Amino acid sequence: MKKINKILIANRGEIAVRIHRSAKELGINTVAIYSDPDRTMPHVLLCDEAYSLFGTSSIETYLDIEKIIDIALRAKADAIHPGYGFLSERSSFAKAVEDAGLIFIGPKHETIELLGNKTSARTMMAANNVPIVPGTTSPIQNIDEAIAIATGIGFPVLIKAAGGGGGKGMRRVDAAEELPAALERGRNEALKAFSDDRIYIEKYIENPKHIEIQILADSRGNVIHLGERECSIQRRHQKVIEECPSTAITPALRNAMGVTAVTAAKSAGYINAGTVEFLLDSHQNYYFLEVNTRVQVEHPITEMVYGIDIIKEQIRIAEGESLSLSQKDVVINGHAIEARIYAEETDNNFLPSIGVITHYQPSAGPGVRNDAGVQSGSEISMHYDPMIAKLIVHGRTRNEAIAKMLRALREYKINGVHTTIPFCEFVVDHPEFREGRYDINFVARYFQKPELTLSAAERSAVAAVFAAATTKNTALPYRSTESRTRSQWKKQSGND
Amino acid sequence: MTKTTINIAGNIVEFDESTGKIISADQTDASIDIRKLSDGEYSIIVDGRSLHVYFTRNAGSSIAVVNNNVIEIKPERLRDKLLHTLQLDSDNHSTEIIHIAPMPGMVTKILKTAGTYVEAGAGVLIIEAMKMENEITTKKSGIIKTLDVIEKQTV
Repeated sequence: MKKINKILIANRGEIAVRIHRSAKELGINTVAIYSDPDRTMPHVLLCDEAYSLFGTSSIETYLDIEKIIDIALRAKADAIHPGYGFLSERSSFAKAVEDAGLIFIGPKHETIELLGNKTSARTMMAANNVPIVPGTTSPIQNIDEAIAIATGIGFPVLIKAAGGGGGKGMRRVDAAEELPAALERGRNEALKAFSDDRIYIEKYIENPKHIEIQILADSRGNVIHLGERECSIQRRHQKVIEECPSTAITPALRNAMGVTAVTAAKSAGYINAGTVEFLLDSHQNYYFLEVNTRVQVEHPITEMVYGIDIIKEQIRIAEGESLSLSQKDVVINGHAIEARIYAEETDNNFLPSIGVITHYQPSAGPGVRNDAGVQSGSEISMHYDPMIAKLIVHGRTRNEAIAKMLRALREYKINGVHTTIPFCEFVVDHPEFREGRYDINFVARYFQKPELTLSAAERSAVAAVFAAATTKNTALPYRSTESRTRSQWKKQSGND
Repeated sequence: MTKTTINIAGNIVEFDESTGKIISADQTDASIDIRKLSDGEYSIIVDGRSLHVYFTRNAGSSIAVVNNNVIEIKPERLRDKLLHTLQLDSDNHSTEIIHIAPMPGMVTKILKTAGTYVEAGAGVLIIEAMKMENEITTKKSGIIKTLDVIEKQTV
């Protein structure tokens, strides 16, 4: 392996900015790529070089392998960092990068291929004694078989479509007599949705937590874990708030899950940074879900708690260097929480909110980190993910981190699009979140549209300023010099 | 004097549009300090409570973003005002409402056809935008009079 001098960042938004920052700190030059609407986005303005992808949709820009490799070669980059999303988990991309004589900053394409297939990953993990959710590994043939298997696992069970995804063809079954009807309906749904009526049965894990373990593996056989992240707060099956460490994890369990994750990585011949995702039930049993073969959106909380730069480690590993630390150097320091700020209408089923961010002023202060890929004037369009920024806080204790998160959320100023900031405040301030008693059903169970309580005077003042601001008359209805006196309304309204 | 009435989060405020002065409001005894920060951005301190407000004017209804929370501002029409005075909720009495796509995207699936009775909150169609499927639901119960889109249509 060789020293990397120039990295092409095959991504956009906050993760492109994030990768640029670590690369620059390592003395490496950066190359940005951009679609037509992204010309003035921060990642393009920050990187040393930037090249157009000539197009708008993801397909013709950030997903176009040929264009991206061509730019990398012309710009004389020696490595490509894929970020997350887009091409990051496509083994064909990793292979194309390798074939072009460039370094892919991530696992080998064979590893991505192996772990990307859920069935083969599950089979391999089971063979290496990594606990998986008990269930069938081949499709159900008939109802007698289904009843025998479900009884063996123990009810409740989950019926799942092989074609998989989005909750379609998936249903919970609590007793053997419900099984025939449920199986029939599941089959029909799966057939309609995926043109594939193969059905699996697995144990239904009630109110699980989503716990994932960060691992780092170098090309010299060193594999370590960097503890867990809890990502149970989800909406639309996507994470919104993550924390490190998890309140549910004891040191013994952390060690056990960490060792399991390291075993999983070793059995797959994994090299670079990765994440092993698990479900944790209320009895501290954990079950393997999948391996994410890339940097995670929520990686900063691990960085804050363990004082490690995961992107730098990824680059060092890709250069063939050893990890900069060993397992005994991995020590928890304090508590970190991340809130993802999305352009979404919280009170309208989290529909994406598109538009131009007319004003943007993120929060700052001690223990606050804001990883953003936008600035004032940036457009949130229908073409890409509506995430605006990640707000990360680090405190000495969990309570301090919660207090910091709430004050940082209140400090954040964004205009032009609706945001999930009020939603994040609701979650972090909720008694069950404060107590750490939450699971992946938190949002469905507790979330109500947050209401800002304004007094009648406050509502009237807002209305009056709106009226003054948007009518021909630009004068404000109140003079600030009179602000210390009472009875402003009476004076101004002429009612007294 | 041009009297304008606006409804802010259910609260009626009347003011004189030519002078910007309040004619009637629910609260008349508060200390208020207002500063403009930039176009459409204001700091309003009401009895010591600090509000950071952005205004966005749209056709029909505008919004105020108060401390990151979105509040709708509706200019009241005379008919609405009368209904309001009569303690009637106009929303429960109007017979027809129009649903407009809340975002640009592609209609991937139509769940209910014209002529079908739907309960409030029922899904009518699915719009795909930003790689996510968004179910578009009805605001109230009723019969779908017309459905002006087809599957695979871009809206």
